[in-house]
Amino acid sequence: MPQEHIHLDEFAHLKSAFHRFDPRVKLVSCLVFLVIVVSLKSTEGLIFALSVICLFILGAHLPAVRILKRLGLIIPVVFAIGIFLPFMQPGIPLFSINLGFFTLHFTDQGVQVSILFFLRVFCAALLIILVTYTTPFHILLRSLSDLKIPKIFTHLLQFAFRYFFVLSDEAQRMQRARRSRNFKPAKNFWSRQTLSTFGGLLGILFIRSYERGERVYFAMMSRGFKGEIRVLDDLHIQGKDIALGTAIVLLGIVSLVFDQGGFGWLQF
Amino acid sequence: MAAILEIGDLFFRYHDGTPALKGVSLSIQQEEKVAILGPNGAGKSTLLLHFNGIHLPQQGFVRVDGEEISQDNERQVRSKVGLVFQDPDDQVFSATVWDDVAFGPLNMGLKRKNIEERVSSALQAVGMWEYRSRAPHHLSYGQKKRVAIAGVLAMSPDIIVLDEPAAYLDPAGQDALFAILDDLHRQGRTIVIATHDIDMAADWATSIILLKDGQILAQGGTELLVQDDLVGAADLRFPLVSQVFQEVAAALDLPLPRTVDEGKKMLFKLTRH
Ligand SMILES: Nc1ncnc2c1ncn2[C@@H]1O[C@H](COP(=O)(O)OP(=O)(O)OP(=O)(O)O)[C@@H](O)[C@H]1O
Ligand SMILES: [Mg+2]
Repeated sequence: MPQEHIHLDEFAHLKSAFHRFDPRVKLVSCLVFLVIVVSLKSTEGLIFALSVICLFILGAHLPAVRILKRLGLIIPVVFAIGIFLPFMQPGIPLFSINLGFFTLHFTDQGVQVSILFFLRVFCAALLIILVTYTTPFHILLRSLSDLKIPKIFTHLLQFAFRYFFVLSDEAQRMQRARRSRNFKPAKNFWSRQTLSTFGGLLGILFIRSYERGERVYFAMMSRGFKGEIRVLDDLHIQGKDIALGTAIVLLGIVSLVFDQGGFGWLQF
Repeated sequence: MAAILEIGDLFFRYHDGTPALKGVSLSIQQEEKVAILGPNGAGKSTLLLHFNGIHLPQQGFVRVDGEEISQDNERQVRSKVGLVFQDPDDQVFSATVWDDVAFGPLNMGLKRKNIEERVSSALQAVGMWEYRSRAPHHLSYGQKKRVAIAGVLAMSPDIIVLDEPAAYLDPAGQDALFAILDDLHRQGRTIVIATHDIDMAADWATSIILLKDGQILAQGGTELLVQDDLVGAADLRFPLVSQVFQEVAAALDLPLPRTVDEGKKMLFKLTRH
């Protein structure tokens, strides 16, 4: 069972205007857009924002199918929340569920809230995907530290990222070692032998990851790592970065105007 | 020739209480090619981690270029002493091979052009230039080992320390590696390796250090490798060439050959009669 290595920087080396976009301006402008998007209160505004983001994703040459697959990871959670929202909103009931001692009303207003919720989550998720998929991770970190995000935070992110692979590799290796010696989990996961094997493995996995993490850190120190993230590419903000950043912020403002019904005069 | 690396009465105990080094003293001269040999668990890797201040002595001292390693100067020491770890998975962590090799030079604060030159020549030296944009965790173990070596070559330190450099390399890769090391040696670098490969040590090294149970058994030339008592004590065996000629040399009272070249010469001499 060869497992695919999850690779964050998978699409970071594609070429598009969005990839060339200065990461710091990209971060700030997309953050502004994000804040606007999650504060939108109407379907019109959100749909406009969503189409803008989708256009950006297409423009960045990110493969739509793969993105949808990744989105699939959050869909169940969002869906679970979204399905309950209509019941929690007071309003005109569309139908009711009688639970004997308690009646749940599925309300029209609730459906509205639920739709808004879905749209907001998708906008936010797609926006984050857009930024992280078009910026190599180390450059993203460098930009964060350029934007005066405290060092402790960027280091935490950096090591979380590195040790994630360390941990998943370690787990994979241990799984292989187990399988090659014919370990088969019992049908009942809670059987004593299975449970104690897994428990032991988890403990060892933790210790092994910790110790490997330490050795990785030694090796980094050996090559002169001083706790400072250095990247080769000197980042320079150019006119077109400012232009693109401004455009994103402006589009955010446009969706805000839509949200307020500001283009009402366009409707007949 | 001055001692470029000097260790005196070094003790080291791991957190769990394992005493890994128990009073190690040795000295390595400038421009030597040193092979450290010893059984598994002898303390070779632990010792090497003291060479560039990753572990600081719990007792005793380590001097590089006459200067004792301490918390204050460990950083300078690391730019002088490059260390290739035994397990490349510990060392190679970046998103691409190229980035990983550039990691050391970047930390040295070099200019972009210089970094690019160093990375490309290091990658070419280990035959991994074609793999520069691959993700290291998808490479074979031997390929990762080559990348790890390139990462240290790119920093071009005065002293290059390699833990089991030849393990997992294919024969051509091993030859290429030793060609690189010899090249660096000719440029005046000091090279230290820890290894289990006795034949290679006999052929390549100018100085041998035998380590066992955290203690030095002997330090000297390659003649150590054909001393019965030492070889037995260090859980080693004679180099293959020496094994082949052992009885003949003893019977004819000739010096026992240790390298392939010496063996060939002896064979030639014997068969001309
Ligand atoms: N992280 C650690 N924690 C505790 N003990 C350790 C650790 N690493 C090594 N040791 C112990 O220290 C001793 C020396 O280990 P070291 O790795 O230096 O041996 P080595 O000579 O490099 O062996 P090999 O030839 O197998 O690489 C061994 O007894 C080993 O069990
Ligand atoms: Mg070792």
